[in-house]
Amino acid sequence: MSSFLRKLILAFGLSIGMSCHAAETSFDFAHRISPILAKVGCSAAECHGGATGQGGFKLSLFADNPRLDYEAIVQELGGRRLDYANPANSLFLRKPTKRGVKHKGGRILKAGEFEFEELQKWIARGAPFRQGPKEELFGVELRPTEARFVTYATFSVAGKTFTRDVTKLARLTSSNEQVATVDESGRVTKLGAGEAWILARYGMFSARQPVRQSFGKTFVQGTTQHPLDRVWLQRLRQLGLSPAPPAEKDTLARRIFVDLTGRPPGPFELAKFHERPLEETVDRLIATSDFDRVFARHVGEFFEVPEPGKDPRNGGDRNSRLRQMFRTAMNQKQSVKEITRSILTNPTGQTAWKHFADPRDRAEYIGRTMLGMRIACARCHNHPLDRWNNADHLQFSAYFTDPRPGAGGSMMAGKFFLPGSGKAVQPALLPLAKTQPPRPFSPAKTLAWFILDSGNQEFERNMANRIFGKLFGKPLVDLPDDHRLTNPAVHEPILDLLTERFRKNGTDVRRLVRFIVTSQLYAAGSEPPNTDQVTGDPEHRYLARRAARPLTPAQFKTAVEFVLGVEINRPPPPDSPLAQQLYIMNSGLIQSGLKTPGNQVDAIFDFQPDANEQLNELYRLILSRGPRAAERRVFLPLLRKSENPQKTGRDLAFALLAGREFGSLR
Amino acid sequence: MNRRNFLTSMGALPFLPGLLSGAPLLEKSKRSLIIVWLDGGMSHIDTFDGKPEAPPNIKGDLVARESSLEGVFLSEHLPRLSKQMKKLSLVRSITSPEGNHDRGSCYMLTGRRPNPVLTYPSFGSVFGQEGTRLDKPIPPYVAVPDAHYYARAGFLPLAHGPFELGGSPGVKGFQVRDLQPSPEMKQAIQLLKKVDQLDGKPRSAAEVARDQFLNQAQYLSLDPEVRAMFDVTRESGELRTRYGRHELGSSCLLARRLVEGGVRTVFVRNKGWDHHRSIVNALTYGFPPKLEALDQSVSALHDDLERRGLLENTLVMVASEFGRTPRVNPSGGRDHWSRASSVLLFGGGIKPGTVIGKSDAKGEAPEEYPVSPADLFYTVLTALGADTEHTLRTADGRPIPLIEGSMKLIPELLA
Repeated sequence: MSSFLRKLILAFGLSIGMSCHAAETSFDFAHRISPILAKVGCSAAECHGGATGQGGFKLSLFADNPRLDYEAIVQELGGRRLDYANPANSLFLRKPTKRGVKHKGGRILKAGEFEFEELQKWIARGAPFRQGPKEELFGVELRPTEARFVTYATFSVAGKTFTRDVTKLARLTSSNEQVATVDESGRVTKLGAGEAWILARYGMFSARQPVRQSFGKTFVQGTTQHPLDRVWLQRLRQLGLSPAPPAEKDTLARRIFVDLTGRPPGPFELAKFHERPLEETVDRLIATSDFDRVFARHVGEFFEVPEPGKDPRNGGDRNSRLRQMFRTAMNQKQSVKEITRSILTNPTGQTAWKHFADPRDRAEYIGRTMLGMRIACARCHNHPLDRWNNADHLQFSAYFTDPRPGAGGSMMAGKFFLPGSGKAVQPALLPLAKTQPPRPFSPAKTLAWFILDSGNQEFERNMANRIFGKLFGKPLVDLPDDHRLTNPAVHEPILDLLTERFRKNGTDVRRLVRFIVTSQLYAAGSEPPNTDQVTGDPEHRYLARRAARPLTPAQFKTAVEFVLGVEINRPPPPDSPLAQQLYIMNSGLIQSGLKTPGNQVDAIFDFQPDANEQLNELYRLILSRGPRAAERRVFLPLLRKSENPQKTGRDLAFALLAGREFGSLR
Repeated sequence: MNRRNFLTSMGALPFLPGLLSGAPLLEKSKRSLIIVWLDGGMSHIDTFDGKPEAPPNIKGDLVARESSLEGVFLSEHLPRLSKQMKKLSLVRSITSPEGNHDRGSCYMLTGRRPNPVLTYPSFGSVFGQEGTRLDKPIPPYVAVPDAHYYARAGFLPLAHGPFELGGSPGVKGFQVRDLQPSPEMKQAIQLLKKVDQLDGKPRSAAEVARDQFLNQAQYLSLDPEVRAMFDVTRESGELRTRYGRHELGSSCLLARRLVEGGVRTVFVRNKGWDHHRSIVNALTYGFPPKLEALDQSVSALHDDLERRGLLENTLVMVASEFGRTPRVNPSGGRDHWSRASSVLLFGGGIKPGTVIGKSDAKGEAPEEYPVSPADLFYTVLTALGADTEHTLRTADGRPIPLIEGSMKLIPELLA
């Protein structure tokens, strides 16, 4: 009997035998077999999913093309891979079990295991591609129960929806295996304190649920009016962490001044900071042009415009025009939305991405910077973790062609063609929530509508995350250009709150910064309770405590110049950490400032005769605090005994400027 | 493993750069690597893959002669290397699809073709980074005078990148950038130590790292005997002349001093090999003539390492991003050609006198044993005794195997 006839009979038999449960009789290779191929690794890139397959057997990468895989398994080599009379004897099953044949990939299936049994049953059924009415998969859900995390897939068949437990077919992983692990059946084992996300992937869908284990540290209930602190304290309570006591006022002053104006406070400003309410200082700083300068630079970084002096070849002019644009925008109090709109639609702004000749590079730039998403991964092929597939990437890229050759440097003018086939690609927006503009716009305006006005919150979430990162040294979603389900924020509720705030206040940087900076979270101290364990400390990972972070090279130079009150005509320290320390020590950056006539350190020693006061003023000037008793004990005699107080003063000033505390924002 | 937090979870920081990568590389040996990078693309036909039988428009104006190794034809402008050839090894069948400087360099220096999402780390950033001793914090990776963009740390933390000297050791009065403290700063640097000491212990991982690098900076710059590691003038005049008193010669000599001092990878960058016009002039005239300098420096490096007993543990690789067109162009130059090029190797872990592959009669493509830059990457790391099973981690915790499944080992090359 031919295999075709056998299949026909088997299929017929099956459909009769199970017709009473319409939903259950449906069988779809894509939903029952493909997930197994992906799960056990057959369709991984290093195995049969590679571009040329493996050992003459090629499957689609990550099993994203069921039809192709089906044909390879069932029809290739004249159907030799399957044995319908004795399914376990099929080459398709003997290979991965290494039964009587070699398999370069080793033994990956075992008789009796779920995956093996499923594949065997499928062959016994006659290896159908589909039986019964077509099942449409349209979602995956992960439900935690007492015993295990159950993955449900939602299908629709002939207009009716139903869900099915697909846990055994899904791929389950944990985002933090130090906190919890998950096994194939969905059982979660808690290993340590903290938060992990359990991720389930099935078909092209994924879902996640958090698992938490308390640190068990005594939680002291604080009172707070600030909405950010309410969420913060609630999160700490969930994790069993105590909030750190607030930073000392001097430390907080230095933190706020450097974050908001790029420089430490002067002694006069420091005194005023102690007198005024915090909000008043913040409002004053936000209104300064220093704030505009600092945040113009940050916004420039969000849009991948390099710092001055770090321009690539031929990019200097373009970048300096863009930097100027950001400065003007900040001076004019434009919102981030307005700035983004001009990057999409106005000719100066468009230079941020028009120098990419390939429309795909342009699309990827827009994805990274404006949506915080790396769509580049889909350029080559589909990924199981991505929301975008290869076709989405191409269609979105098609928006970035230029109307005629040479208009913006695009190498694919007018139309964008499918590589290989030569077919023109129709532009389409990425499938985020709502994707049709209310009325037809020009391509640039359609893009602006899509990113800024179409109701998805990706833009606000991305920018709020980046701004938070600038104030805390690390964004909530790290890396900030890689928002996806599998890269959760350290505190999702905090990011949700900031996103909502940012959207409501019209994406105004100043208002978001003010909101964050006036919170207890921002003001929390950075002194570790146990200095021996600063590296593995969960308290600053989960923001129970602030982490001392280094000044950036540019901030360092600005701070030295501000403290000394002179301009230093030298570049900021290099990026490489060893070269940086050598530069600070030996290049003369600090020394030349100390030798410039009229610098603030000399002024102290010229006008202040009393050594005790000299030391006080030196510390307040450089470290924004008075000297501690131990410091006074060591350095006061040094100044008193010195034959050349000015030289000693300069040396001490150098030591303070090059020291650990000055280079760090605590 | 807990993604990016893994690296901060290991408690104290005994070994810094190794720790920052996520996990130290375990290594079987203590070999070192010197890469002599001929920036711009060395013409294979005019150097190590001579074609004396080819038509004039291919063999060019330079004469190739059979070297001490049978069947290997070197330019007559490489007499010393030609004599040494039986002790050296050559891969003549390097082939790659990347014919642009940046892309070709990326492939040769990282073993990976350019990737729009990730920049991969180079040899020196993945090898020899297992830890720096606190009492003797020698930087594991040094670039002389500077590093190619693709010879840097890529997606690994900056701490894995090369320490770039920032000046040519061939220039009179050369000093490593910012290495020499001014004498009047003596008291100030003492006070700096005091200030940090009074500040107590570091408050965060970033402050711990800063302390480590300050310690390294002070170790390198305060002791004149340590600084001497970077000073080629401490060598005899005779030896300096043997290496050649030009940039390439002095850089190779410095590389040997650094390896002796404990540096694990030295990247010697020699620019100016992009000969689109009058290639004969560029290779044989000027100061120094490119081929003469190459011959002098590399042969001296070999002899010097051998004499000092360092050859067994030092692998030297002479490479560039691609070869050059077999056909001489109308301006008398040769253009980019990535389908065939040659790489010279000798020393630690490499079997002497081995020739891998051969290019066809016109030097256009490999005729036997094609080798990709990725295969070479794998083979060199294996020869060095690096842990080729190691998994690197990107900043977001993505695991990246150091060696991809598609990279093939060249077993014949290994000692």
